[in-house]
Amino acid sequence: MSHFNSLLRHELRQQFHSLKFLTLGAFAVVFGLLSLYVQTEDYKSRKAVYDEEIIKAEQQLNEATVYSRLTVPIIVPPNPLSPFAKGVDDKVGNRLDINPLEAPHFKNAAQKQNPFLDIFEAFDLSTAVHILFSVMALFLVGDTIAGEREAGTLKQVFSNCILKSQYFLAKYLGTLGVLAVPLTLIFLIGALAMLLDPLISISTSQWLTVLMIYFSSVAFVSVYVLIGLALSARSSSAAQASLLGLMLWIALVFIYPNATRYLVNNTVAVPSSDEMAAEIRTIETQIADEVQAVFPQDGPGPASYNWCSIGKYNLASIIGATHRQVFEYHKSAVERGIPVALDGLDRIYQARLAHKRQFARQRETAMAFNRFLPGQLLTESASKMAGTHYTSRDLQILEGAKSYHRQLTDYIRQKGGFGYTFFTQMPETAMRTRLSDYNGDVLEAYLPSNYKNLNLEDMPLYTPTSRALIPRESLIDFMALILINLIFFILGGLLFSRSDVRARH
Amino acid sequence: MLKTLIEKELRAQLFTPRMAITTTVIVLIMLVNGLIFNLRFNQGMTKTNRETAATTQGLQENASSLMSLLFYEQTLIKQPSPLGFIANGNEDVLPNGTKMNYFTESPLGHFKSQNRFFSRFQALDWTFLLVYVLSFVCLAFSYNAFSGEKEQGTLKLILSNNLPRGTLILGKLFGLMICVALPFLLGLLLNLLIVEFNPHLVLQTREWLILLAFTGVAMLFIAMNLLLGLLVSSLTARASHSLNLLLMSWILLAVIIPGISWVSARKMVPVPSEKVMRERYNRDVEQIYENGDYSWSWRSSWAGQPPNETVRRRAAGIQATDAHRIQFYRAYQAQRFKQTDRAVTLAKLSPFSLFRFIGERFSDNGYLGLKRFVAQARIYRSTVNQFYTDRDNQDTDSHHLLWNEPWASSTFGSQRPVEPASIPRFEYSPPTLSEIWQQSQWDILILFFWCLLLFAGTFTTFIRYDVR
Repeated sequence: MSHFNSLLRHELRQQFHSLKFLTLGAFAVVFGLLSLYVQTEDYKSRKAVYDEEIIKAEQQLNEATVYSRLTVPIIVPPNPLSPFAKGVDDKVGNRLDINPLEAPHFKNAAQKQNPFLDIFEAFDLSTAVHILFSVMALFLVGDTIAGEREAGTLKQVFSNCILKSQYFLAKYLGTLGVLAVPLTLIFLIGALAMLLDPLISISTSQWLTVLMIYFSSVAFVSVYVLIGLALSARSSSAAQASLLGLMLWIALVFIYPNATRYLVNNTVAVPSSDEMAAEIRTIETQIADEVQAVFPQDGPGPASYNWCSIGKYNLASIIGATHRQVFEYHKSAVERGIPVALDGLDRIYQARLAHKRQFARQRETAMAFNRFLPGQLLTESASKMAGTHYTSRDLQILEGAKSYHRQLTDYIRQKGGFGYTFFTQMPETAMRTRLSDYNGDVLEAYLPSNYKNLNLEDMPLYTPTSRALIPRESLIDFMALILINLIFFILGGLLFSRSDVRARH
Repeated sequence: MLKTLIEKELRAQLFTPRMAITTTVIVLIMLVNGLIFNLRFNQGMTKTNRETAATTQGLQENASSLMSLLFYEQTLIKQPSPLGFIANGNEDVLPNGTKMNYFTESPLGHFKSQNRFFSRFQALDWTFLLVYVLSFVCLAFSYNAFSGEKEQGTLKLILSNNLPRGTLILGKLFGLMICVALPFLLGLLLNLLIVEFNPHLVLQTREWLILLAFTGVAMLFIAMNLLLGLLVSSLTARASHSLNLLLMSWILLAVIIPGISWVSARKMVPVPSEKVMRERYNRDVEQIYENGDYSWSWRSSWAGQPPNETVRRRAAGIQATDAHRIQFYRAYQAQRFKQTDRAVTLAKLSPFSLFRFIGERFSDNGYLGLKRFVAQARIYRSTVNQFYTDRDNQDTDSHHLLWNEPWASSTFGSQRPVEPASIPRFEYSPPTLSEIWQQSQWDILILFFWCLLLFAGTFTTFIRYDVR
């Protein structure tokens, strides 16, 4: 054990004092913190827009005077953990308008400032760790075993009573310990800066998520340390080991992931958004026809209105005053048309969902090829933990919005909102046979601009789907990282145990 | 002597495992690039042709009356570039078309499949190969050019002959150039062979000339990377230190500078969010309504009659709003372009990004290609609008009052049919070689200057290099 301790101490001392570690470590800390700063600034600018949006949304909700105009906006706040793992947080929309006559769907991200800047890579912390710490790990350990063998010190070390496993473990823990220093520094400084920033609020459970992302990052770095050790154990010279490591890095970080995504993106076909929009338009036309087909046959007759607006699917949206018969016609149209429209909206929702699922399938196909890549496992698990993965940030919210749409329509139904109050505030008792029968005060009182706001105190509120603190899928990715660690530990150990400690000439 | 040195370098590198790995990787990437490009190009052309056919049909169907044509919304799409295999230019994240009619123009849109669930990725095009793979290969080939030979003691031996140090640098440079260029040219030929087999794409003289010119620029880029390796190698005494320094330079130039340039650009040229702009626009429109002497009255009996004062005031109100919307949207887009241009300029501080944008210029893809498309789409809109206005002016029966309310305004303009073939059609024209040269000459010169600078640096340091 004392041998192991001295080996570990020696390794730590040697790595800490090496020029390679000092330069690359400083480089990594600066780059990591820079990525975190950039993403934090981005988060704050999106949050500022979100805060404004929320105020506007509340005003909009309180302005509803008839149920046809009742729109409950669901605005998804930017994720405060996005600087650590951005996922799709700023890519998919952030607003869904829940309205009885609209299938829930994400609207474009209003927080977006310049979509053309998407041509540049934006690094979150997990991507920065993926790129920098992998190369650091390979480069730092590349010449440890091979270098000592080349210099002849390996032979000297084993002339003492030292086990190869002790030596391998000391090398592994020493390098990992050294690499953990800049990694921990980045997480600590970053977390402290976010903690002290009054514009960022992170809950205790989210801090636990940050801690889990940190552990995933350590596990990720550990894989590359083990890969580096395995390469070093088999290489005849330090330079060869470093070079092999760097070649492997380029392949695993740049070539292979890009190649698979590029291939899948271009071979697994998914309709474009304009094709999808055309499909939705077709369904909308079908719904309009179906709704029209259930309208009362006799029609409203010659109608004059004090104020009238016809909305989606030819259903009355808002009416001030009109003949009683016309009121009855529109009420009947709403009563018959709404169930048909709601069925149709379900078709629109399903079509949109199917389109999204095609994208999800395309992505999953690409991910299937990358499942074994440590970098992929890190970024995937980090975004799943942070809640910026497409499943939690898009599909689950959409499903929640769909179920809220159902709750809202039930609420409106309970309130009798699919009757006269769908489009007017005039009570049935005040309705007259002809428009000329209304006196001026009544006409004035029931002008839509004079309508009172709906009392929505008992309206159900949208509650976001609760997420597990650490989702199961992210744990699977984390466990896969641990498994890869174990495999490479065994492989590296085996390769080293069979390698010759003498210099190869 | 130079020839001997080159031969020596070739003998030392050509039959090594790293050469075999390099060649295999390059050939594989080029094969994948060629195959995927063909697939993408064909899909893109099918989509473009479909939209063009739909537009033709739409114009024919609406040609019975000029007023119908004014309201007909055309879709303009940037057709895929036949040289897209040089640089894809992140086409997947950029819009590729727009819709417009006489009165309005829509924001740029995606007339292609765009998967927002994917994290951003690079296409395996020639620029990717050169920026991420070949630059790294250059580093791997050159990091120990001097420091490695010094460690082995061979540098001392070489220079014990009557060999000028400049000649040794040139020998190393040319020898390594051949080693790196050979697999690249092999992959390039294979790629072109695959592209040539695409029955839907015929490369014309223009394309071949551009390809030839780009290959020349690619050689310049390879030389720059090798010279960087040689410079660092001549600055250090040990190969491992050279590798360390080069690795950091590579990460800085290929990853960090391109990755943070946009951040500085965002600070330098602020662009408001879409939401803020929407609110600003709504306020402007309210202002226009308040300040102008407009009327919003309408009676169905006015249709078909000569326009009265109220109709004119209504039309003026709508025209003013439409004009403001187009102006407002263009100004917002110009601001976004300005910010992106700044980010591109800052990214070009790295020769890697410089080369990437040269590639985009040559292939007419990416952000630079999109800007060209936007400019052409605007010119087209002016042309076609002028054509419609002239036609309306020629019609003595027309009241020449055109505004964007189809249900109200359709009887106030010309009702005469228009010959569909006479309507100007949008056809995207890619840049000629001379245009490409004009637009990218400074970038190429800067790349050349980088080479000169690095060569001068290598020469200066190597002259003083202790070979023992």
